[in-house]
Amino acid sequence: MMKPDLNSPLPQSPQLQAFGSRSSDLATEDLFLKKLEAISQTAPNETVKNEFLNKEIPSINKLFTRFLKNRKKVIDWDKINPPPADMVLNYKDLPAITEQRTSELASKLAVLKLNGGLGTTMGCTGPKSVIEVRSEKTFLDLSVQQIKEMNERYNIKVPLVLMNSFNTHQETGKIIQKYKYSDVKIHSFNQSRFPRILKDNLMPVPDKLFGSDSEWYPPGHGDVFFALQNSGLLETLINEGKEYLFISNVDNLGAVVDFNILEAMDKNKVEYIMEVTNKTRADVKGGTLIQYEGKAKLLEIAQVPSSKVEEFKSIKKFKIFNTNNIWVNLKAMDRILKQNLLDDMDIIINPKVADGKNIIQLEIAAGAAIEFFNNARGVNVPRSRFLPVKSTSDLFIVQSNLYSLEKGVLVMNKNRPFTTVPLVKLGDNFKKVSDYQARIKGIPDILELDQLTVSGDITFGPNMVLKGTVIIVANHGSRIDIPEGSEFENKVVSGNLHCGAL
Amino acid sequence: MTDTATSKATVERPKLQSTGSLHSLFKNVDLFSENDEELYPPLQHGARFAAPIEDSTLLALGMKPDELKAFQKQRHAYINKDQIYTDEIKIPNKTEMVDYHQLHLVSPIDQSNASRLLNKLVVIKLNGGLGNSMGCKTAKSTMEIAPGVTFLDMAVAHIEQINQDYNVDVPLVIMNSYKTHNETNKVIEKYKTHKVSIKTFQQSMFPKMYKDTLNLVPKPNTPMNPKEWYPPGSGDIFRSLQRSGLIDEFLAAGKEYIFISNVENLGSIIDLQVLNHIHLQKIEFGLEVTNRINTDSTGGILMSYKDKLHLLELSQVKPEKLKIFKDFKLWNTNNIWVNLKSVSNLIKEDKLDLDWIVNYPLENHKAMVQLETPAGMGIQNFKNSVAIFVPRDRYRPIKSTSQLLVAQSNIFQFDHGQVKLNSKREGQDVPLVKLGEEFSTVSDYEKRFKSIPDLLELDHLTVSGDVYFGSRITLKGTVIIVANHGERVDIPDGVVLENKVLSGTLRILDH
Repeated sequence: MMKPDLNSPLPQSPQLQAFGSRSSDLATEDLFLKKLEAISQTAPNETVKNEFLNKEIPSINKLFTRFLKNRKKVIDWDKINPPPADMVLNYKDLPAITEQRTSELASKLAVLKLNGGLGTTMGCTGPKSVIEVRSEKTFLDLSVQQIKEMNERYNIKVPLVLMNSFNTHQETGKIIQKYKYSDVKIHSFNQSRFPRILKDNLMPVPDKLFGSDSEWYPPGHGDVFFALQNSGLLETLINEGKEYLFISNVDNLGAVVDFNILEAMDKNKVEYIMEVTNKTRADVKGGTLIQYEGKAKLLEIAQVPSSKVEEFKSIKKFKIFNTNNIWVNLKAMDRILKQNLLDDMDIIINPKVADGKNIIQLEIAAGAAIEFFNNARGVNVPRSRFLPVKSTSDLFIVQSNLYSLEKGVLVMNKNRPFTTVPLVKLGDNFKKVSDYQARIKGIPDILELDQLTVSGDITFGPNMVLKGTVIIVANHGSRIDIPEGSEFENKVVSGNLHCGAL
Repeated sequence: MTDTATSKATVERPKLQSTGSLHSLFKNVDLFSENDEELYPPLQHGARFAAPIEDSTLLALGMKPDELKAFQKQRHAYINKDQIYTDEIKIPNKTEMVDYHQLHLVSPIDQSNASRLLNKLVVIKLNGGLGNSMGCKTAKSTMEIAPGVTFLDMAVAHIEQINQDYNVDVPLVIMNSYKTHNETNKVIEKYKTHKVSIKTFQQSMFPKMYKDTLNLVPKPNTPMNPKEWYPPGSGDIFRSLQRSGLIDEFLAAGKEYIFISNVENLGSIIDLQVLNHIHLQKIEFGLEVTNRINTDSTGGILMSYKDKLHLLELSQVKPEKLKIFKDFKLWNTNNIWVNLKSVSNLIKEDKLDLDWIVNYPLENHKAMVQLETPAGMGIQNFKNSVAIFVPRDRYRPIKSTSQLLVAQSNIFQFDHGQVKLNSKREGQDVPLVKLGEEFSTVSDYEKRFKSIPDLLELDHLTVSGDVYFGSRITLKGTVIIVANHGERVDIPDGVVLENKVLSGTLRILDH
C-alpha cells in the first residue's frame, strides 16, 4: 500500500537540488534507461526480454521522466479550495432506484478488487485477501459471495476482476480455482512491476530482471488503468457491453456494490465518482478531495508542503477523505487512455528503507485520475462503506459482535447504542495475525465498547465483555492472562496474572 | 490449649492430716508419675494441690446456689480427674448404635400418630456463642446466611412450618449466655406474629480461675466484670433449664422430649423418624453422629470406653495420642434428643455428672482455666442411651467463612426454614472450600466478595492471599487462586474458572 511520508525529502534534498539543470536531468534519464536495458539482458529468454524492452521499459521510463520533470513543482497552496457543494453529492440525497432499473444497470457493471497487497504490516507472507476475516471466510471469499448473491438476485452476470501484483499473482491464481463452480466469472491481471530507485543517485536498485523481488515494487493502484488496458481486459469488458467499473480495495469490507451510486452516475453522465466519507480524528492523514484550478483533485498528505501539514490535517477545513472506492465509466477510461491524458496523474514519492538502502518508490493513487474525467464527482458516503482492515486492531472490530455477516456483507449490530465504531488499539504483541489469533481465544463482546487499549503480554480468555473505556496493561516482563468470562466496563486492568489449566 | 508440663514436679510428701483419708493419700502419690498410657496430659503442680474454695466466697460473687454447687463439683473433678487409658478405648460396636436409614424398620412410623408425637416435643437452640472465630461481636444466630435471613430466622421458619403442617404447638426455646441474652430478647420481638411460641433462658456463668493456682479471677465485693466469667458449655443446658422452671412447665404441658442443637447447624431440623424411634424404644438420650470428614478437626468423636459409649473431645487429647483416633469416624453433631422426665429425675437425684473439657485462654498474658461441658457428654449418664448414625445433611455447621460461602451459594436452596441441596448439582457432595486468613472475619469476607459466585459445579476452591472477587463469577471443578505476597488479585466480573490455577497480580481500577 501507498504510505505517504510526512517529511518528504523531495524537493528539499540538497543532493537532488544539485540536479538543477535540464542537461543534468537528460543525463540522468539516459543513464536510467541504459540501466533498464542492461537489466533486460538478464532475461531468461528472448520472449521475456522483448516483453520487458517493448512494454515495461516504456512505462517505467515514462514515469521516471515525469518524476524528474515535475519533482521540483510544488502545489500552490493558495489555489487549494475545499470542494464546492455541487462537486460532492450527498449519499442520502441520491434518488431511489427501482428493481427493474437495478437489473439494467447491473448488466453494465464489472467489479474490480485491488489485490496487490501482501499485508506485511500484519505479518502475512501471502496475499492479504486470503486472511480469514469472518467465520473462516477470507476477503476474497466475501467479495465472491457478494457478487454471487447479486448475480442470482438480478439474474445477471457481473464479473469480478482481480488486479494482482507480482507479489500475489501466482498464489491468487491457485486460490481462485475454488470458485470454479460459483457462477461468478473471475478475471485477473497483473499490475506493473517497477524497479525501486536509490535515493542518492536516482538509479534503479536491481541488476537482474528476476534477481530479488524486494528490489521491485508495484507502483500503486493508480496503475490499474494502464494495466487493465495492457492486459486487454478493458477491451474485453467493453465488448461484452460493460460500461461501468467499480474499483475498491479488497480489504475494505464496506465496499459493496451500491446501485444508488451507479444510478446517479448513469443519469448524470458522470464519468468518474470518488467515494469520500467524513473525517474523524483517526483519519487525519487520509487523502482529501479538493478543487484545484477549477477541477476536482485528490490531495495526498505526501503532496502537502511541510508548513501546511497541520492545516491539511484539520478536520474543520478538510472535512472528508478518500475511501478509494471508485466508479469509472469504461468508455471514458478508454478515451482518456488513448489520449494519454492519464500520463499526467500526480506522482507520490514514497521514501523507504529496504535491505538497508534508502530508496524511493514512485506511486500513483487511483484517485488521482479524477481530474482528467469529464463531470467527475465525489459522493459523501456513510462510514459503513469504509471498513478497512489494515491492522489486527481493525480485524478485531470486524470479527466481533459489532457486526454480523449477511450474504457476504458485514452489517452493524442494531443493538449497538451508537453509530460509531469503537477505537481499538492492540499493542505490538498483537501486531501479527498469528500472534493476534494465539492471544485471543474468543473475540470479546464489544457491543458497548467505546475505546480499548491493550499493551504488553496479554492473553484474552473466551466470552469476555468489554464496555465503555477499557485499558489493559501488562508491565514489561509481566504477563496477564485475562480469565474466561471477564467483564470490564470503564476499567484499567494491570498486573501479572497467570491462569493455567489444572 | 493443653499445656504439657515441662518437668516433673518435685515436692515433699504431704503430712498425714487427721482429716485426710488413707485413700486420698494414695491418690496423691499416683499423680507424681506420668503414665505413657494416659490419654490426657497431667495437671500442673499447682492445680494438684489447689486449696478448696469456700461456698461463701462464691455466693459473695453472686453465684446462684445450683451454679455454685455445679462449679464446685466440676472444679473438684478437674483436680481429681480420672485418667483414661488408651488400651481400653475402642471403636463403638454397631450394636450400640442405630443407623438412621434403618429407623423405618426398627421403629416404623404410624402417621396418624405424628401430630401427637410432635406435641410432645420441645426444640432448644444453643445460642450462647458470639462466633468469635469469625470476627463477630454479636450473637451468632443473628448472622445473615442468605440475604436478609439469619440462623434464628431459619429456626423459627422451620418450626412454624411444622406447627402449621401438623397443627401442633412445638415451642422454640433459646438458651442464651450472658453474652447473647439481651440482644436475643430484642431480636425475638419480630416473631410475635409467628405461629411459634418462643421462650428464652440463660445458662450459667462460671468464674475463671488462674491456671497455676486454680484461684478465682473475680474478686468479691467488686463490680461484675464479664471478662472474668465464662459460660460453661452446652452441657449446662440441663441444669439451667431446670433452674429456669421450664422443665416443670413443659412437663405440666405434656411435653416429653427435647431436641437440642446448635443454632448454627443448618442441618438440624425436626425429624419425625428419629423422634418416633426415641419414643418407641424409650430412649432417654439419643446423640446424632455422622461420618467424619477431613475438615472435622475441632469437636468430639464417639468411642467406646470400658464397653460404654463415651464422647471424647479431641482438644483434650495429648498431641502424640491424636493419631490413635484417625480411624474413629463417628463425629458428634451435637444434635441431641433427650427424655425430659429423665433429665428432671437425674437432676433431682443429683446424678447428672457430665464429663468436662478444659480450655486455657490467655488474659493479660496470664493463663486461665475454663471448665466446660459438652451436652453430648450426657450419653454416659443416661441409662438407655443410643448413638444414631445420621447422614451428613443433618450436620451443616457454619463455623467459618469458608462454610458460610458454601451456605450462601447456589449449592443450597432455602425452603420453609430448611436447607436443601440444589437438585441441579450432580452428586450429593458439598464442595471443599478453603478461604485464606484474609477472609477469616465475616466483614472481610463480605468486603472481598462483590457477590457470591456460582459454585454449582465446584469440587474444590482454595484462595490464598489478598484476593477480591467481582460479581457474577462461576467456579467449576478445582480452582486455586493465589495472590503473591504483598500483591492483590481482582477477579473480574463475569469470570468463569474451571479447573484453573490463577496466580500473580491483577488490579482492576475504575476509569
